[in-house]
Amino acid sequence: MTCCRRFLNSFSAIAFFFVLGVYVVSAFSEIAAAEPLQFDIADDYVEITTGFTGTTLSMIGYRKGRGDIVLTLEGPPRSTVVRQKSQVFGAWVNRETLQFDNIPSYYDFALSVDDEKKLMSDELLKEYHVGLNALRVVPKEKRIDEDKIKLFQSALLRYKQQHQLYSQKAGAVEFLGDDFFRVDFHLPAHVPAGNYTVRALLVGKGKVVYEDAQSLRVGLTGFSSDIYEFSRNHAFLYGALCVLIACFAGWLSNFIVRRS
Amino acid sequence: MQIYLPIAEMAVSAETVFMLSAFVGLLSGIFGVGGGFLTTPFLIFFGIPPAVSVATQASQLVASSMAGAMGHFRRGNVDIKMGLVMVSGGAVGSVVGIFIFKLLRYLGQIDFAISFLYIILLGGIGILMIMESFVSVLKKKEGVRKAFNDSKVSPWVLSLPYKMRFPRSKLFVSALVPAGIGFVGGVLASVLGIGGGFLIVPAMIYILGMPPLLVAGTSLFQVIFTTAAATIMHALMNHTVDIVLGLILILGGVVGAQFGVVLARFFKGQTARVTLAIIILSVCLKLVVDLFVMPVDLFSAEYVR
Repeated sequence: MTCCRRFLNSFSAIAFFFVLGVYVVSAFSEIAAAEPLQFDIADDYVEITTGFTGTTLSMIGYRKGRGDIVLTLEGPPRSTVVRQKSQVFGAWVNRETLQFDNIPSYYDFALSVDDEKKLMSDELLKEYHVGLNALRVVPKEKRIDEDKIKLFQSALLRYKQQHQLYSQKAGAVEFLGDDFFRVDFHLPAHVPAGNYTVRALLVGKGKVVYEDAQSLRVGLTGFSSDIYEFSRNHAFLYGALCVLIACFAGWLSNFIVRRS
Repeated sequence: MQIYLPIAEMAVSAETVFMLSAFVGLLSGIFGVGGGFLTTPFLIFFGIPPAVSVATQASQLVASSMAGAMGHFRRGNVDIKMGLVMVSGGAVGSVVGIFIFKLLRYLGQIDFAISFLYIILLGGIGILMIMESFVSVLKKKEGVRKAFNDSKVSPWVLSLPYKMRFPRSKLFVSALVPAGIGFVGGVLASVLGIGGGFLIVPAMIYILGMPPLLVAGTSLFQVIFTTAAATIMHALMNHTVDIVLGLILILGGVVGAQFGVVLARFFKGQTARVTLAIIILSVCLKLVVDLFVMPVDLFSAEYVR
């Protein structure tokens, strides 16, 4: 009898785990069915400390079924003024200017193909901000000569690229298996602080099949952040403190010299 | 070691900045000059934004002039009353300078203005120093001594109102003169991040007629206040004072100056002056080249603040 009960017990335990297992698997497959694309950022907070020299932002994702993958990384919008130098008495001086409002301060993207133009139409590229030419770079002032706008737009993109704030070319989406992928974005030391958006697209037959976005914060932390915040929020006090520190340093150096 | 500058929002090599300020400190130790006029262009060459370079350099000058003035103060070579009258003009000058700076920045001409003013300044000083060396080689410094002894304050200066007694300097002149000299120093501190000793010292001797013994100490004394005012104004109006950069500059300056004082014994007056003139003229030349040679890219971009 006891032997029988023990058998029943162990049987029910096995049955329980079996049912649970089936349930978990089906639950997962249900999620997977609902979301054909999932990704996660290894670090959703990039800390700029005093020793910060840039970092690599890694993202791991999973796609279900076929389709190409696009990942874009966009920094906080900032208004930027572009200036053109021309010669005045032989010296190169800023003359013409054009201001662009709310352009991404930082931009990088990665594709599972080599060229974004193979994925979708120009309109869709623009809608989803895929590729440098798809970024919305519109001048603040209206009624400006088209040629001038084009000239300054390309100058802005060039400047941003030279300063490693816009990517030179699309990064690669690296497949770890058939469906798991990984993307690395390299952020330089002077990456602008603020809220970033990472957008992942699953593209099939020229259409965006699925879209997912996550936010990411790049911020000064610790000492750097304290100084920055203090200098902005209590500007006078900060200036006065700088002077006090300098005075103390001057006094100290004089004191040390006199002693030695 | 890369270090992140919180205000400049960029990473720089701490050793490089330290060596740079130590080098300038060394020069100031050897030659007894402030050296602000060399640090700012050097920082700009290293890619630190001109606005941050100027404002931060002003804070470094507070430290170096403080250290310098204390020595003079101990020896009693500071005319405090004269210094304070100069400071009153200097404070106004630094505020005016900040507004000039802000306007130039708004117009997108601050880089050009700083380069241009430095070219004139460094070119002028460099050439004058070389000329003076040649002249003094020929005349064996008689000319310089004579100039000091024969300096007569011009009647135009004496005719100005608001006369004031300065017992320490044994002068009875219009307060407008020292205040005016201080004003120029204040503008220079705000716009260029320099103490302006090279301009203030001769002005105090030749225009004001102060005893040369008191000039260096009094000039340094007022430079503490004008650069302090410039630092606070830059922090308040432009948010461009980077204390991390400032501390590296101060540290480098102090260390460099100590070595400079030791090395000064091995430098003879004439050689020293020509060496400094050549350094100043090379920096000037680099600025001229940067301004006149066609840039690789004619376009530049900047965030609107």
